[in-house]
Amino acid sequence: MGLLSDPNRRRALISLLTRLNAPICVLCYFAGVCWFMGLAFEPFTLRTYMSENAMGSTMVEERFPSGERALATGREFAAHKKKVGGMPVDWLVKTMQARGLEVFTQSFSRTLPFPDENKERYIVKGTNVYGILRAPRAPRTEALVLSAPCSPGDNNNQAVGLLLGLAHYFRSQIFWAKDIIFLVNEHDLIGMQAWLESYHHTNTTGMDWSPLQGRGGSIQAALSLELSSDVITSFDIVLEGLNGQLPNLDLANLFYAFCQKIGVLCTIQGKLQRNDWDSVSGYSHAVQTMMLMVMKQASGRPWGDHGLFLRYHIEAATVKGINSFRQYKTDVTTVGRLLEGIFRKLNNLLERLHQSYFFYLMPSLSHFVSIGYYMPAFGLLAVILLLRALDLWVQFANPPAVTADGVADIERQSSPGVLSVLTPLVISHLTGAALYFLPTRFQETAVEHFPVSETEAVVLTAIAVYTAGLALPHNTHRYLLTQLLIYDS
Amino acid sequence: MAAYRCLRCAWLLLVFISSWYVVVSSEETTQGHDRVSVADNPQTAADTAKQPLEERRWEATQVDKAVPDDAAAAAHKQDFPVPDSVLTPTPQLNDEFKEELVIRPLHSGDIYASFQFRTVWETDFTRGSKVSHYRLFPKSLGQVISKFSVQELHISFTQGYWRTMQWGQPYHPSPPGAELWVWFQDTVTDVDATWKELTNVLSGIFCASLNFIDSTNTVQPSASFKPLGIANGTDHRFLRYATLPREIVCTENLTPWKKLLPCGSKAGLAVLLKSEKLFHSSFHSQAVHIRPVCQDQQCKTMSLELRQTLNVVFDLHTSGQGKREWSLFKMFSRTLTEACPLAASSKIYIDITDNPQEEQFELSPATPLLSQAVVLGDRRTFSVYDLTQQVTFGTVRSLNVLIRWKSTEGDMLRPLLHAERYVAGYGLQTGEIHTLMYNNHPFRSFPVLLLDSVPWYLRLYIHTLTVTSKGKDNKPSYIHYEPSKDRVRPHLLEMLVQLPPHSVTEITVQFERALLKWTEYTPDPNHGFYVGSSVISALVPSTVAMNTNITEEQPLFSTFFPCKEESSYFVRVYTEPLLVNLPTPDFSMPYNVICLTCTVVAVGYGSLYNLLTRSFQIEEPNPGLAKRIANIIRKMRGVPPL
Repeated sequence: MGLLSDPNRRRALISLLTRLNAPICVLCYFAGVCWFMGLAFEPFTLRTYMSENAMGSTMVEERFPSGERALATGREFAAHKKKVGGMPVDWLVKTMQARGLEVFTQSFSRTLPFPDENKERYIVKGTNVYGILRAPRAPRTEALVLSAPCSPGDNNNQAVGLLLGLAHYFRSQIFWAKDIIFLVNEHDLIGMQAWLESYHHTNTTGMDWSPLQGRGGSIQAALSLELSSDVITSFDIVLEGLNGQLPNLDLANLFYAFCQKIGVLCTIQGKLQRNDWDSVSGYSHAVQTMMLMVMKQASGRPWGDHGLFLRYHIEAATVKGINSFRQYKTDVTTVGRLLEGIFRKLNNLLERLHQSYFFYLMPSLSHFVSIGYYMPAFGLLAVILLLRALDLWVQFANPPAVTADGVADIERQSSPGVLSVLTPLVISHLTGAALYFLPTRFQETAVEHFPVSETEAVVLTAIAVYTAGLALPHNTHRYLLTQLLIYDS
Repeated sequence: MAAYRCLRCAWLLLVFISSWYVVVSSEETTQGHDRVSVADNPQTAADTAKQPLEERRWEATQVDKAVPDDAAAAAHKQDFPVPDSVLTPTPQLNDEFKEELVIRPLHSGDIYASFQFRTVWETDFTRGSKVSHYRLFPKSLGQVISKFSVQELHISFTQGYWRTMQWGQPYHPSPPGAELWVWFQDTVTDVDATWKELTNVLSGIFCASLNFIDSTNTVQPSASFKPLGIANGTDHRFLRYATLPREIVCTENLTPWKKLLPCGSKAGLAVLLKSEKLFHSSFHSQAVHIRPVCQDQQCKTMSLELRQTLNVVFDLHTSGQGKREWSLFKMFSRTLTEACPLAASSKIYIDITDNPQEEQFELSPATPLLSQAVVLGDRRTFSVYDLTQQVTFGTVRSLNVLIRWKSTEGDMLRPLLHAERYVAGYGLQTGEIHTLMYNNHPFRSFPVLLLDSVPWYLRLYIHTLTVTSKGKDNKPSYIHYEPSKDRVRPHLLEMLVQLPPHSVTEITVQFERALLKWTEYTPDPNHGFYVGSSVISALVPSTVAMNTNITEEQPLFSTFFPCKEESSYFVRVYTEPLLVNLPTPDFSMPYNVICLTCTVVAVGYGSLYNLLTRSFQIEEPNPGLAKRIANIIRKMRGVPPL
């Protein structure tokens, strides 16, 4: 640390930084980007491995037999759904009760800020149905969730059928140590959010819901199932949740391990794993997979029903059955066995999933990049800002010698006052606040007085705020300068 | 070493032989002594005369056990026509053993079996008299009671949670895990020390982790746990209550429990208690209750009652393969062949109240005996099988009661009182405990006593306590709150709340999660920490007049909670325990912290120290190379430098 106290060396370093600022910044930028792109290269990444001891070494045997029956239930569900024109609540309650579950329903409603795209409605009403399989000789302290959304149209009927089939099969087993909650939620994310808020008795979104009658203690893990065809070619896992949160990596590992064991093709971001990592196309495939994950996380929205669980510290993922034009097909019995295996392993958990990573990127399902590897790339990009700031600061402190007279020199030094720095700062903050509050505030007035719809009103207000904001700092700067000149003279 | 061992063996042998001689000679002397005492007390003489006879019978049975049960029983009855006076308990010793099994078919298709074994012994441990002769009463428990001056002792081990909504009220409520509550006699001076010692002893007797009961999970409830037997005072200084919600109950707890029975698991109803079936169930609970009871109406003589209960619920789908048909064999994989020979009564009750004309289920073999009892505020009808009668076993000499349902409907029940509890909120800083109590009575309100014992690491914000029923504030008429003390004692909250008719009463209280010291975490900290069940004790309005006469002959299951008035009955409801996650450090953190602190100290402190201690001076321009060399030479010469 002689560097700080030795003025000579400090001067040398500073002059180096100011002289070579631009090249160093460019170098950092390229190094950062290269590092990040290098992460997708397979030899540079780590293989995934199961960290959780309770799930790793234990063997489970999958015996789910009744895939055909589950499909039949799914068709029955579809028929009832069509008849009712929505969620067949009564039928679901009766079916779940017949399978020996404790069944409860929850109704919810949510006023939308904008009308629905298709149906021009402002309020969404729905009902969630869930059945709890009570684990024998367990005191209702822990639970697992298997959910399937009741989607409009012909989607997801097989998922509900399989959920009911699994419920029937799970009910006759003795080995459950955690309660299992089978949830069929209406209106996808809205229903899921209503159920979760009610379960934890919080209200973060201003939704109306009826309180839950039955609970199963603290939820340890959740799986959301989406399945719209009788046979599938591959299984896709979706991890990205609300605000880019991710479940513990062990959940992805578990899914991958069972796909390997049972022989189902598995994908992440809809992309299969490739073996030709040394070829250009193989590498670009990995880069695409990883970048898709980055983009999805950056968007901040949940990419499946599971995404809302993560806020409550519940590890969750969505599994999607995909039916494409491949030859290799997997039937529902196999899918059921896969889910059974996953649930049995989760049932073996002694603690919440916590052993593995919570921050990671996945170039493929078998490889991952942990936070320790991708943070240096981010650090290299961030250090550019620091270097630029340092440069500016140094220029402020010792301005380049002016050839004019000394009076002008002194004047220049005193000119950058607090006011000139503070003004843009305040203005930019005010603009931010205006952008946050005004569009929703003026939406109603705008709709009343102008022939625009709600959505347009919001966009227009935002644009107005931007335009006003663009004009402001420029003008103030000029105004301040004139003030200063008047003062001087 | 070997030589030494040989020597020790020889020495032991010598000691043994000599002690045998001493025993034999002393026996001779005691016999002589007995002869003297016969004249004094003819009763004792009769006792001692009977002892050898009884012992012979026991030995005979034990020998018989080598051959299969049925044959043994048959052979036994032919070969040893033992007089009845031996089979029935001797009146002189004044102890009596009764056993019974209640089977209640549940609406959901599940089946509930409740075993009761009661030993009543007219004795008095309280007056400091040494009791050393035990017959039916287990000696291990008797010694514990006399040594620790226990007035009442209630201990239960439960695996699973009683589903009130599906199964109704149990005969013997108990919380998941282990529960222990003890009333000490008022002669005990240091109750806490005695309690500590008692829990350790019981831990050994029942092979359970009761030794984990310490001051951090023990409370002294002021109102919720009153003595169930006769008691002089109810000063709660002599009461200790503790639960261990995490306790796992398994065969190692069942075996010592069975050993306390007079017949063990060799004869009587206890032959059904096979662990492979008992633990293949939805609910399993076993308990031991010891209390002093009155013998007669005037309560002239006091006797000690030991009640051992075992409750089990078998599941329709896992144990019953989905078929609504239950038999003793299907439940326990055994049938009954005889009563316990030491039992004064041995009966099986089957609840047929919902089934007066056999429209719900049919029962075989049919029994002509019917019994009515008022239990849990309702008059119930039971079919009774008396195991002491040979007729019960029929020609096949074995009893296998079979219940077959005719209809297959199962709805949720609406029990008059039930409760649930959960933790609300998310994140690891704060939370809220919600307790919901349902009064499903259409028009009667009744008071309930709520007891909450919360560990210290959940810091309750007691000012946030709210009690609401039907959207309105419901002010408790009695609140007893003892704040916790970190690492010393838990929170204790007791409230008397009036539940309005047909309502839900919600009690909420916020808490903060404490950060523990790093050695205080359990080996599995991410599993979470348990908060024991809250206890709701209530006097629920009864539909029929309750029986307040305690001495009348009644089935055992209806006499556990004493009944003081006719219009209401006592119910205890336990909520589910809670599993709460506390903020947990990453346990590889100490290493990280050491690395980080070392770096920070080295970089930060080092540079600061450097700046502070360095003396700054204006540096002369660097002298040229020639000058430096000249200076070195001058220094060697001893001349001042240039």
